[in-house]
Amino acid sequence: MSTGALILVLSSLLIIGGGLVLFLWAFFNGQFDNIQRGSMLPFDEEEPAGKRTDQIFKEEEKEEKEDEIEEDNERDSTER
Amino acid sequence: MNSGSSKPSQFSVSELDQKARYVVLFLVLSGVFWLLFGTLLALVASLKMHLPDWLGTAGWLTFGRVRPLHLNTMVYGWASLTGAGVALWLLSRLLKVPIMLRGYIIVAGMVWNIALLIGSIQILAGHSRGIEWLEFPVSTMVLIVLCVIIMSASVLMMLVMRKVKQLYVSVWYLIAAFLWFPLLGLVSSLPIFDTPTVQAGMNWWYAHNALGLWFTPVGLAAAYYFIPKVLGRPIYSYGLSLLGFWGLALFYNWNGFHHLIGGPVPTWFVTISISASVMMVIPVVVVAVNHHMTVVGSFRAVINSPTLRFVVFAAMSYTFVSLQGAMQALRSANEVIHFTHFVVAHAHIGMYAFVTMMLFGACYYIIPRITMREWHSKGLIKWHFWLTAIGIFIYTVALQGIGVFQGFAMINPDVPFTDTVTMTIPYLVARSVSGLLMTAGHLIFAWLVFRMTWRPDEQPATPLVWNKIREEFAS
Repeated sequence: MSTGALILVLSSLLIIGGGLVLFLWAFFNGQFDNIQRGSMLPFDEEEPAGKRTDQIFKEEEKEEKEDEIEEDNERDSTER
Repeated sequence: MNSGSSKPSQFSVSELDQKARYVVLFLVLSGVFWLLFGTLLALVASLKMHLPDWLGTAGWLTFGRVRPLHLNTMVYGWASLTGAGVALWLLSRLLKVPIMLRGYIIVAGMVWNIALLIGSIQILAGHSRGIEWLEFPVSTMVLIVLCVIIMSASVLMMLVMRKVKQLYVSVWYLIAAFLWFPLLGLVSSLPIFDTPTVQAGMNWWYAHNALGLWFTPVGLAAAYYFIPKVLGRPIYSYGLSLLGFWGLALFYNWNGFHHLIGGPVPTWFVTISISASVMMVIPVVVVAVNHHMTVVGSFRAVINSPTLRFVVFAAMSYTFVSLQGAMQALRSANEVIHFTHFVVAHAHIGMYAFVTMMLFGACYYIIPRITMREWHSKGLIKWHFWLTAIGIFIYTVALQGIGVFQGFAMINPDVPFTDTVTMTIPYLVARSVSGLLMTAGHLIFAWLVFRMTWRPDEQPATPLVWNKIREEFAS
């Protein structure tokens, strides 16, 4: 096998190996202890879950969907 | 960097956005410039496919130079620069720290742009490296990789200084991308791949991984952030999202050699790649199920959000292109479609319908928040969406439709080779038409971004829409 091919295989193994090291770090760091809590990370007090953002085309339409948001929130709270 | 802050413990979302302002804007604007340049090259190359004599007298305008430069400017100019901007903004928000090394990143961005300019001139002058996805001279490539390494350093610093303990799935994707891409870029620049077969192996190991380990993670990280964020609804299953990430990390890296099916490379290389390509079905389906279950029932909110229109379109394209890729990697399917327009369209679903549409969606969310301005025209955003969406749809249907027939004609010894070329011409014209639609969309996008940044005084005077929504919910 030529040097080039060897380097390719080694680099591929490095990528996989790096992934495994990251995974082990994550495991022992407690990243997987409470998995479902991770889904709340994009939200905070300023922009909490349950509040839609970026609905800039909405004004053109009638205010018909207010109750739909509430329905969604109910669905989310029952799932959790 | 944050030593002057009076509240070192926590940054608000708007504080983080303001600190990200110049870095992200600079990267996105650079990207938009290269998008326009790359679009022009794409149109020229597409027209040349059915008007072969057009612009054929000047060497630097021939297909063999314009088409590779189109690929390189789109990949390293538009998608990489804008993608890096989006990635840094996402990390800043999800790790709750400002982007680190902001000054260095802006300098790196300037060097990156200069490298792209020099590389472009070199390709047009005929000094291409002759390796698909790596046509830029090694000097340009090394400069780009060094710029990414500066960003990687910033990312690692943000990771260490983060204010949250748990890492969101987007963060996983982005950290991995910023570690993987420098390795890919540096290895592919080593002067050791001197025999043709080894060079071909390196070529597709690099090219497929650049898509899968650099652009795909950035795109999926954006999807995992924007879908829950805009809908205000957490991702359906966080466990599934992690499974998707680790599946990608494990399987994607081996995929590249499926480009060399039938080539003079060791068969076990190719067989491993085919197996890994089929294994990719697992993370892809996992991501698709997760996104679908999050979006389902909120279709109206998707329509109402410029960001989600693009992001959901892109996420669906990701599922489609990845499942298609797994099928294409099978030897029996590859025998037909290899060397046809089918594969060209496949690559465009990946880089355009998935990556580019995702970046458009991300820009529609990010730029108003870092500039504190609202978009100039809602109507133009809708035009942008429909022009690009219909454009890439026509492109895909035309080229993949004829690609299959072309493939069967090419493996049929009774069909003269000329016939396999002439049969595609109407579909190549359709491709140019779809290219015009996408070009119009890009011009609209560039105009909107231009208005946002250069003429802020003429923006709509209405209160910022999301502030209004925020107040509504606060009351």
